[in-house]
Amino acid sequence: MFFQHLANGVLISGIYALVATGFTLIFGVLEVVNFAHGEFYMLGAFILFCFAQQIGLPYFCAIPLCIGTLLIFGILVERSAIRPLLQKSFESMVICTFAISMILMNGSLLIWGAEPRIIQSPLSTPVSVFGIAFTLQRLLVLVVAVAVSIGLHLFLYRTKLGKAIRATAQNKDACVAVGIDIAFISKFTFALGVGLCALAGALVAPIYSVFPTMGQTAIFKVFAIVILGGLGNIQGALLASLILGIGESLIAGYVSATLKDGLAFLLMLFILLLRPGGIFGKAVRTL
Amino acid sequence: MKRETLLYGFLIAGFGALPLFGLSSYSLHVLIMIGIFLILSQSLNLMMGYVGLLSLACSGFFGVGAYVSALLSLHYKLSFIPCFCAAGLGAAALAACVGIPFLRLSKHSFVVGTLAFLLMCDLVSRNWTSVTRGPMGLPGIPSPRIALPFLSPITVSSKEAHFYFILVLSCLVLYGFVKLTTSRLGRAFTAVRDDEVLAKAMGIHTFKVKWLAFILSAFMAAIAGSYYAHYITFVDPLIFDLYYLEVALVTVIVGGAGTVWGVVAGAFLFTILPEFLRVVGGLRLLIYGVILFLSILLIPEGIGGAIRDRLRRRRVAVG
Repeated sequence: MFFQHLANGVLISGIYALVATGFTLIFGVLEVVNFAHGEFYMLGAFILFCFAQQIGLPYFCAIPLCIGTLLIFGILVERSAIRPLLQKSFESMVICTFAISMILMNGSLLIWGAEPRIIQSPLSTPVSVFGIAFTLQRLLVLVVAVAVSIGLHLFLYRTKLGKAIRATAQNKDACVAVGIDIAFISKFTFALGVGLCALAGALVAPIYSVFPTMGQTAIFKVFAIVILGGLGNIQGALLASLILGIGESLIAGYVSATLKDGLAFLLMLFILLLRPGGIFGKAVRTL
Repeated sequence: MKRETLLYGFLIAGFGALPLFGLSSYSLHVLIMIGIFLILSQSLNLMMGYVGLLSLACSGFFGVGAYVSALLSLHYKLSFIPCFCAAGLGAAALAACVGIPFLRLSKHSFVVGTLAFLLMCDLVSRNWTSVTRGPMGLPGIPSPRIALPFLSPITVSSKEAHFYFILVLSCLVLYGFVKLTTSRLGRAFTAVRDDEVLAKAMGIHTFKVKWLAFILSAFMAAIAGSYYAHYITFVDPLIFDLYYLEVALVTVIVGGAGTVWGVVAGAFLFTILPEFLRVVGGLRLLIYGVILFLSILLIPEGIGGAIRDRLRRRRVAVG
C-alpha cells in the first residue's frame, strides 16, 4: 500500500511541477507574482474541453491546439496588462493579475457553468505494475512533466535565448547594456509560463473533472510550492512539488483526506518561520 | 478646523435623519452594508495605503471575527458586547502571531502568504466540522443586545436600529482611523511606506510599526465581521470567499489607497452600484474584476488620490 501512495504522490507532483515551474519562471524574470496563473491552468482544461468534447477532435489533436490558443492569449495578456505595469509598483501588478484571475474565473463560470465537466481520453485504461495501479493518463502526465523539466533545464542553460532569460532574471540593466531585448524576453517568458499551464491543464483534464474554480485550489498549492522552493528558483520548485505531492498522498492515505489540503499551508508556515527564503533559499535568486 | 467639525456634524446628522424619510428596509439594508464594507475597506486601506503592504488577509480576519463572535454567542450565550470585543481582540491576537513570520518575508512572499492565510481560514472553517459545522454554517446568531447603565437593554433588531448602530460604529472607526493616521504612529506608517530604509535610519522600529499596523487592521476587519455575523444572523465558510476581498480591493483601489475619504466614497459607490444595476453573483464579480483591471491601468492612484494630487498641485501653484 505504501508504494501505491508513493506512486500516486509522484504522479500528482508532475502536475504541480508543470504549473509551479511556469509561475516561478515568470516571477524570476518579470518579478510578477501572477495570481492569474491558476486561471490559465483552468482555462487550459476548458479550452481542451471545447476542442475535444464540444468540437469532437481527438484528444492528442486537441492538446497542441489548446496550447496554441493559450499562447496567443498569454501574449495578449502580457501586451495589454503586464507590460504597461512593469515600471509601476509591485502592488499594482499583483492587483492587476488578481483582477485578471477574477475576470477569467467568473467569466468561465458564466460561459461554462459551475458543474464539473468530464473529458474522455484514450489513455484512461487502468494498468497495474508490481501491484501498483494507475491509469496510463497519469503516467503520461508524469512522463511529460519530467520531459518538460529536462527540456526546460537544457533550454535555460544551453541555448542563447535561455541564457538571455537567466541573465534578465539576474540583472536587467546589464542586459540592456549588452543588447538583450528585455521586452521580448518578458513576452517570451510570460507566454512560456502560460503555455506550461495550458499543457498541465490539458493533461489533467481527463484525470480530474474540469470546473471554473479549479484554478483557485491549484494556485494555493503552487504558492506553497514556490515558497517552499524559494520564489524564482526552478530546481527548488521541482523538488518542492515532489515533496508536496508525496506528502499529500501519504497523509491522505494514512491520516485523513481532509488534512491533505492543509499540508501545503503547514509546510509553508513552517518554512516561513524557519527559512523565509525557502529550503534552498539564498539571498539572490538562482534562476 | 471649526468649519470641518461643523461639516462632519451636518453630514452625520443628515445620515441620521435618513430613516425619518421613510426609506424602505431594502434601502436601509444597502446603507448598513455600506457601513460594514466601509470598515472592512479601511482595514485594507490601513495596510495598503498607509503602510504600503498589500495584505490579502484582511477579509480572512473579517471572517475570523464573524466566526469568533458567532461561536461565543451560540455556545457560551455571551451577549453582544463581549462577543464583539472578543472577536476584535481574538483576531488581533491571531494577527500578532501570524504577523511575526509574515512580516519577515519579502513583500512578494508577504502577499502570497497573506492570501494563503485567507485560503487556510476557508479550509479550517469547512473541515473543522465539530466546531464550525462545516459548509452547513452557524445559523441563529442573536441580534445585538446592548446593556446600558441605568437604562433597559437595547435590542438591535429592526433595520432602523441596525442602521443607527452601524452609523455610530463607522463614525467611531473613521474618527479613530483619522486620529491614528495623523498621529505619530500614523506618520511612521507612511514613512515606512515611502522609504523603509530611510525610516529605519530615522530611528523608526519598522518591524514593530508594520506589526502594529497588521494587528490594528485585523482588529478593524474583525469588528466589522463580528457585527456582520450578528446582522445577517448566519455565518458559513462563504464568508472567506474571495468576494469580500475583491470588494475591499476595488473600493480601496478605485477610491484611492492612502486617502480616508476616497475610500469612504468607494464604499458608497461599490455597494450601491451593483444594487442599482441589479447584477448578482458571478456577473457582479466579473464587473468588479473589469473595473479593478481598468482602474489599476488607467488611474492607479484612485479617484481620491487623483483629486488629492490635483489639490496639492494647485496649492503648490498658488503658494
